[in-house]
Amino acid sequence: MAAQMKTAQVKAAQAVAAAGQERKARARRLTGVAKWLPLVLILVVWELGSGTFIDPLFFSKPSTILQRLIEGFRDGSLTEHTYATLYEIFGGYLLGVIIGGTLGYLSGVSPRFSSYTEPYVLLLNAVPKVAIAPIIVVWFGIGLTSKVVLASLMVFFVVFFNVFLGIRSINVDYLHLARIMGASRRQVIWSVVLPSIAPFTLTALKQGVVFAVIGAIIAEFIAAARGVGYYIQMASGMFDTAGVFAGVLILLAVVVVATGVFSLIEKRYLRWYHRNR
Amino acid sequence: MTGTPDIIAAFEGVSKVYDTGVLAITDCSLQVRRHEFVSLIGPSGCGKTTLLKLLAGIESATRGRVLYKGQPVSGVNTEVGFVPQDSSLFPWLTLQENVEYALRMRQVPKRERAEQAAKWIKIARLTGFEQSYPYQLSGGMQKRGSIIRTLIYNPEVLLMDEPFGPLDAQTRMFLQQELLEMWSAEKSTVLFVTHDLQEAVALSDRVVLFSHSPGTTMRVFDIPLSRPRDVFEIHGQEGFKQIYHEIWHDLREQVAGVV
Repeated sequence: MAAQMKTAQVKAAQAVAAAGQERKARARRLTGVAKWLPLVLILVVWELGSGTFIDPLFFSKPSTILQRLIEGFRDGSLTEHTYATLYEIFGGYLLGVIIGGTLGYLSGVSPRFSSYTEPYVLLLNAVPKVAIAPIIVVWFGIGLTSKVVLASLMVFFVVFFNVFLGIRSINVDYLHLARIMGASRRQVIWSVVLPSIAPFTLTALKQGVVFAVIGAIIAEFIAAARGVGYYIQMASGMFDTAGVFAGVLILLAVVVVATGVFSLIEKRYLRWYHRNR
Repeated sequence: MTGTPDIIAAFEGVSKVYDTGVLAITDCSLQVRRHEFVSLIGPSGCGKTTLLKLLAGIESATRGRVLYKGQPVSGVNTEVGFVPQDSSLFPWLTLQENVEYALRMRQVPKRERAEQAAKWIKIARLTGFEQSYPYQLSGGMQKRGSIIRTLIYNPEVLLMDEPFGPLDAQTRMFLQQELLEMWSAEKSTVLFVTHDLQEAVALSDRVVLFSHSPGTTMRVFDIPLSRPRDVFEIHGQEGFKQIYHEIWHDLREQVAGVV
């Protein structure tokens, strides 16, 4: 009898909890939709206002931009530029991540090594990359190489600093405990050091994409025969506003897709980290 | 004396100066017998933890000798287990992976690891939380996890650094009782740092009083209480009050020296 009453009470409490969960989930779905409303509103006003109170020469309009994108990829006029820029971004990114990651790791692990790298890294980092972009184009030519170099330079620093910081913020107790529990030095690296710096590394990989794009586009602005940056510059020179926006949208897509992939990885493997904060 | 098989660990006139110039402990001497439960008690910041670190080999003595089974400790001592103040479970591993960690490092086959882990998780009443990450566990559960991940590889000496510090009074007593039961079942040796006198008396065979900083081993008290003990009723046990007051009389002076 008492047991029955207890089960009834538990059931009632569970029902209340379930209703609360349901309510929360509905609210989440609602904000998920609602947060896009301002953007939709802007696009609608832009589209409808173009030609009346919005000057199409300076602002074009969403449908024209979309049309330009579709046509550009259908007749191939945008494809070549997109491939060139993707190549520059990817190449620069890869180089920057590998070099920045390696030097950042070594500097983090060895104080002696970092005392050598530190002054140069700090000095180079203080130099505005935009300011040295022209000389990089002079050195490496107007082809794709100069873009790869500038992109990798931009990526290098963000990866270097993040990985360095990651190593330096490892909990020393974890290292000691792992050793006492029987881990060899090599096992400590795999089982403690790498998981500890994983969140920092992922942040670096994510931000690196943005910096790679910036580097590639700046170099293209200075001198290029191909690429989305080149395309944007040409378009703006001819007051082709739709072309400018089309180019920007391509770059946006690259960043959104790449960072989206990293966000998925983060959600899947680094839940422990974000819940700890 | 140091070669006596009965003595598992010994500190002989040990001093430790850290790189920062801080003198943590000075001229500490202590012998720990096999299967013994020894507590180190003293005011906070008196260097009790340093003794544990020296025996674990993650710090080295500036002067004096630290002996483990008659041999000087050089390098990390993997025959001991260390339970730190905060639970320090690896946050990127699930409870099960944490508990299995030491066995994995020792290349124990997967199936045997899982069996061992299941056994210890059951002992610690953590069944059902195998796949939880540390952030999903309560403080007491993390603590139990931290203790069994150390016990699982059966270290000969357990070094415990204020392991029950931040817990509430009830949880503390439960864990103390569990520790006593596991200790007597496993026949291990425990070196236990605490600043709680009641805890020290309730658990130990001997209590070592540390002076205030720079710490040194002032006096060793034998605890004349019979075993098995019940920490929930320890107050009423014959002889508890006398020994408690005797140690408190000395401890008080040391604590006053800090404040």
